[in-house]
Amino acid sequence: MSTPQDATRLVWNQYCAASLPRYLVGTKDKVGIVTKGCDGRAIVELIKDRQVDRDRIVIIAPACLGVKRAPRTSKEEVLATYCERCPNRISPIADVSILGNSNENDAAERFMRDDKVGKPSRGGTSWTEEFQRCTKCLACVKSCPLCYCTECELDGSLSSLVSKLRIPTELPTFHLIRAMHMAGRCVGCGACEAACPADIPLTDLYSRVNEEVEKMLGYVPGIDVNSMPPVELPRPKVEKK
Amino acid sequence: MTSFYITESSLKRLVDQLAKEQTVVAPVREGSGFSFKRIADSKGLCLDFTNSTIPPKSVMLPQLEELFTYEIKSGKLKTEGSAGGGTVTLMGVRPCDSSAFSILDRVMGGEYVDPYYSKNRERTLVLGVSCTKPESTCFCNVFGTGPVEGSGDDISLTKVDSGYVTRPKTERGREFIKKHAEYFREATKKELELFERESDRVSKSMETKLKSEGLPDRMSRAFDDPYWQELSRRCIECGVCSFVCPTCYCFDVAEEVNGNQGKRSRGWDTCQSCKFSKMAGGLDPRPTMSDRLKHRFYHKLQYMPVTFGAVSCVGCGRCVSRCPSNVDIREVIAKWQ
Repeated sequence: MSTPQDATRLVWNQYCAASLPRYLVGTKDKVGIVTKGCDGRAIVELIKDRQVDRDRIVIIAPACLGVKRAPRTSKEEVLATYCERCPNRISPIADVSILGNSNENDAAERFMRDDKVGKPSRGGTSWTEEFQRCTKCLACVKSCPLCYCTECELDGSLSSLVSKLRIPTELPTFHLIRAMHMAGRCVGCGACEAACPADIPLTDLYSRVNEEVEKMLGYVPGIDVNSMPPVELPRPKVEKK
Repeated sequence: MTSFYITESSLKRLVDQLAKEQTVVAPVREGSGFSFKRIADSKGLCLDFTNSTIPPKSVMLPQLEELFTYEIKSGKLKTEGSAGGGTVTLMGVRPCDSSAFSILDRVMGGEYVDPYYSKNRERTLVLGVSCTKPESTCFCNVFGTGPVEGSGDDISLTKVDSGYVTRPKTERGREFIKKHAEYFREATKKELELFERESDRVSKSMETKLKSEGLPDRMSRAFDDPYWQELSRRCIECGVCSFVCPTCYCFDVAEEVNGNQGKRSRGWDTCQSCKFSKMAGGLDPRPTMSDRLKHRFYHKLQYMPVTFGAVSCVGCGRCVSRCPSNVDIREVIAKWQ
């Protein structure tokens, strides 16, 4: 929106699923942005990666209630799994905070305690089965606030293990490479899942690799602008909080 | 034209028999939605379905299609086309998706024939099923591509009582009914009356009041309108719209070389991707997102009616419901109608 009148069209509810930080990269103007907790974490990572200039953005951070969506196996809308896992529904970074009733975050802890290792949480039986539905449209890449590369290495049809023309994927190369690229970077906003036409529960996978990064390197993405990503700079190990 | 009638149980028996003899592709339940799959008998078949995420165009234009393989042996090149495959019956195609076939026919089967598409089209009998309950995102009534009897059908089925009024639309459709005459009977006058009433009811249940007349003309004067820039600010370039679109047909070709042999395949591509229109030397005629999004809408609503005489949107609503950033082609039509 670009005029004060536009503000009357503003909506804030559990269907605000889009990842708005996705639009910050490349903008030259001063921008105001309304953020959910995950969006705030994405902004933190984008600032660290020097993709967003903190001085050019004004962050308005209302408390988020989590996003509702219908899982692949039913028509009934429930809280998205990535929102169940959310470590904090309030943005870690803000110019204006609007604190309402954010849901308590027991759900996130509950999820971490559950043994979901190696299995997609929602309906699917195995990752191989989930990946079989992949259409290689790359909507996951394009919708991700942290995938800001101007050209994605995975976007190509030339003969390679990740070629778009290998469908269904005989090897989960595409998804595993992307998962490795999301390690220590994914903020769990679920934009990829919301965009995926095959309804693959991608954040289940990315939260697992994040867990490993946290265990090994003590790094959690999106929490602190001053803690540098462990794989980007030759710095000493970040102390676990 | 004679109209026939087939009861639900006869249809099931027909499908069982067909599936034994040839490939039958039909809508089956998958998760909370539906998808078009090859079925082995009538058990999985579900004709009371809502639109599948991936349209049945994948039968005519598979997402991945091997074109040919080649081998160089003692200095000689030997090529082999992909096996054609036998007859296919594509069941339960909604009018929107069926009409999409007749639009694809204009492009792939017109002045320049696409041999791969044509081969698939020729070997496939389309058994369409009229809509009974359009979704809130449906707007096929705008382009006359639904909700009853699609223009790409060989045979159209419309649910009346506990069976279907069956109307053959092509010579191939008539042949099919003749060949399987034991499953069909002539429709009674009452059934035909009910058919008319049902068609009327479904058509009236469509909510959209958009109009498509004059759209190409008005759009031809709107190419430089700032509207496109504004609209594209939302778009994240994911290309889901073209992957789920029943009339998007663009593809990319790739070759896999392995020593002296290799194969050439083609697969779906999208004009929304920043690499799509890039040429050798780096020139890109559509360098910005706004150019690319505008191109998609112009292709569907302006270039196609001018070049091929048909708007290439059938109002299935897939792009509307799947777009992660709420770009809505109905808004575009409303803007320029």
